[in-house]
Amino acid sequence: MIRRSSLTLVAGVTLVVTLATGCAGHHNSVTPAVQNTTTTAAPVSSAAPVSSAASASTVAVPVTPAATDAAPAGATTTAAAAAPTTAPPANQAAAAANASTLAAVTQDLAGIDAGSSAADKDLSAGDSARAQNDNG
Amino acid sequence: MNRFTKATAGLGTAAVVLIGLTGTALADTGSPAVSSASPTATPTAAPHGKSLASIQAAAAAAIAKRLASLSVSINDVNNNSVITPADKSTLLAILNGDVTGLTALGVTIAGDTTAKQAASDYSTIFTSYRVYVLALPQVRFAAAADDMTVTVLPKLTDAQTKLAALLAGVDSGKNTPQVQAWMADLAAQITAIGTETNGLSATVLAYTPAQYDANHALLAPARASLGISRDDIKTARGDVSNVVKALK
Repeated sequence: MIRRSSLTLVAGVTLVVTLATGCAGHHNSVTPAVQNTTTTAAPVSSAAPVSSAASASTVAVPVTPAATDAAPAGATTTAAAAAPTTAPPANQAAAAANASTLAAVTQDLAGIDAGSSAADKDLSAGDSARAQNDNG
Repeated sequence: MNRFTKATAGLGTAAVVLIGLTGTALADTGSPAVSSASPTATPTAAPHGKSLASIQAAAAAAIAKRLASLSVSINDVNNNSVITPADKSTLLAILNGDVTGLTALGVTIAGDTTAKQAASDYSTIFTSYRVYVLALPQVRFAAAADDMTVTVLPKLTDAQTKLAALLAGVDSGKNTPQVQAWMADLAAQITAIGTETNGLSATVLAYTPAQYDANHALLAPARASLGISRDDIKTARGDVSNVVKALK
């Protein structure tokens, strides 16, 4: 009789210990999950400096890292697409006209050099011929 | 048959004739005058007091040398893309005329029967053609004048126009007194080159051996004008280059 009671007590203690251990293990498994959530949130804040000031407000909105990556890209694309719609600065057009015309003038200089070189050769050849005694 | 073809045919005929002349001279006298290739020594040493054969040999050498020089010059003129068509026509007429005349003269001298006659004909190699002191310089000086008027001057004017447009427009802020001075000098040089070379090639091409015989300084004014223009081109080129640097 005593032996049965002892067995029942042992079984009861074992059950309590088992339950306690099981609860502790479950509690431990929850903790990393919370940490993971914290970790996944970190890239959101680290991605912000990469983005331009114009897209900074959109960086805070996304929840997932994937959405965070897409948002600045979209913002950048929008900004790039908007640029050509605005007129180029006046000094940029002037610089283009300047470069184009100066390139043409440089070509003129090359032509001048070619003509001058040909004239030099002709003058030299003429002088060389005249230097020969042809007076009989 | 065009002039050039005639000239080529003439050169061939002349070569045959001259080979014959030279061979005869060597066979008859063995004269060392034949071996003289120098145009300086040959004309003055051969004719007077020499035998008929030596005169004929000297004439053959002098004519052969001139025909070779004329052939080179004809080729140069034909290949020149700068010389104006009118000048090219005139030049080829002069050069081919000399080829024809000298070839015929070679035949005449080869047929002379007296030293006196050969010496007289020999002198006309020089007095009637003046290949070295007139014909060839005519070609080169006319070509030089065309190099300047056909190629250089339009390029200088084009550069001047383009630079002036920049300075009046997008680069007006860079139109400093120094740039203005370069542009003013460029304009002056272009005017001077135009004045110096205007009609110069036609003037040079109109000269004849008879005119040269009367005035051995015949080509001097044209040569001086070409030299002045060449210097003006260098100055104008420097002006353009300076303005380009200032606008970059």
